[in-house]
Amino acid sequence: MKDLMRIKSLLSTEIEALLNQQVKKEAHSSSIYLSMASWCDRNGFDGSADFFFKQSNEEREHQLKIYKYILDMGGTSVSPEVTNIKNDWSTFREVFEDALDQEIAITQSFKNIVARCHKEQDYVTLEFLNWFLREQREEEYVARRALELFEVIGEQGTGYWDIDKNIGNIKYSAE
Amino acid sequence: MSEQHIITADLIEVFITSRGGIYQSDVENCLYLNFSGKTSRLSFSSLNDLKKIIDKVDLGHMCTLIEHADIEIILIKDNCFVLSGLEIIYLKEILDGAFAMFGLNHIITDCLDRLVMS
Repeated sequence: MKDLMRIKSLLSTEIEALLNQQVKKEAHSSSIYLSMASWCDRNGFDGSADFFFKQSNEEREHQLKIYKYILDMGGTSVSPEVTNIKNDWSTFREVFEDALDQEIAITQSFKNIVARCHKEQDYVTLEFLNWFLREQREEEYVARRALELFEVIGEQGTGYWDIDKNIGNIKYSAE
Repeated sequence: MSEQHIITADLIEVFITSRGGIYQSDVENCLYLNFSGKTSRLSFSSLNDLKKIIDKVDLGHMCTLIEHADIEIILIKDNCFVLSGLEIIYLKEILDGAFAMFGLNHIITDCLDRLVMS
């Protein structure tokens, strides 16, 4: 009997579902960063607003990359519904605390998919996901460093102004 | 909407119950669903879509509807299924069984392919 399931798609039902969930998480992440950009802009933090606009675009690119991969492998990509986006934060610092939490959640989610790929011996998807794991290394580094600026510079006096000016300068080098 | 098809020798039985069954044609690369007095020709992806829809049907909610109670209309490509609550339960059993067989066939084929390669 022909393996029609394999002929139709390289992805198992479980991995396809996990990847579609990841598409939704990336879309959610992109929307949250957009909301953070709006909050920062409204409160006069232009540097941080630019930073979050950039982050939002990156998450959107990640979403499309996974979306396209599912289709390329013969699966069905599902365009996600994005709801419950937080629009307000109490403090400037809280925005960055949430940003780091967001990145940690995304990394954990990728680890979960990678674990499933190992279990199913889906090395093709595993190889595809390696790019995202490297990307998450950078994303978490940047989010953590941004939050550390609140300790290094301090929040008193012109602290917020300094932090806002330095957010865009955080760069990650793997070497 | 659905075509009548005589189940012939070139069709491979995937999974059957007393209410119906699913057969595979390796020649046509498609599947035949024999259920509720009719036979429908479906691609693998269409059958997968049908399973996703059936899995999502809220039987509890269906039974509480005042108008058109106990009826679910499902359109998959050229096939239309008008199913009662009981038929959904029977069809779900067939689809679950068939997909378990597809999964098993995939594992066996994968193992055999690796043996040939090594």
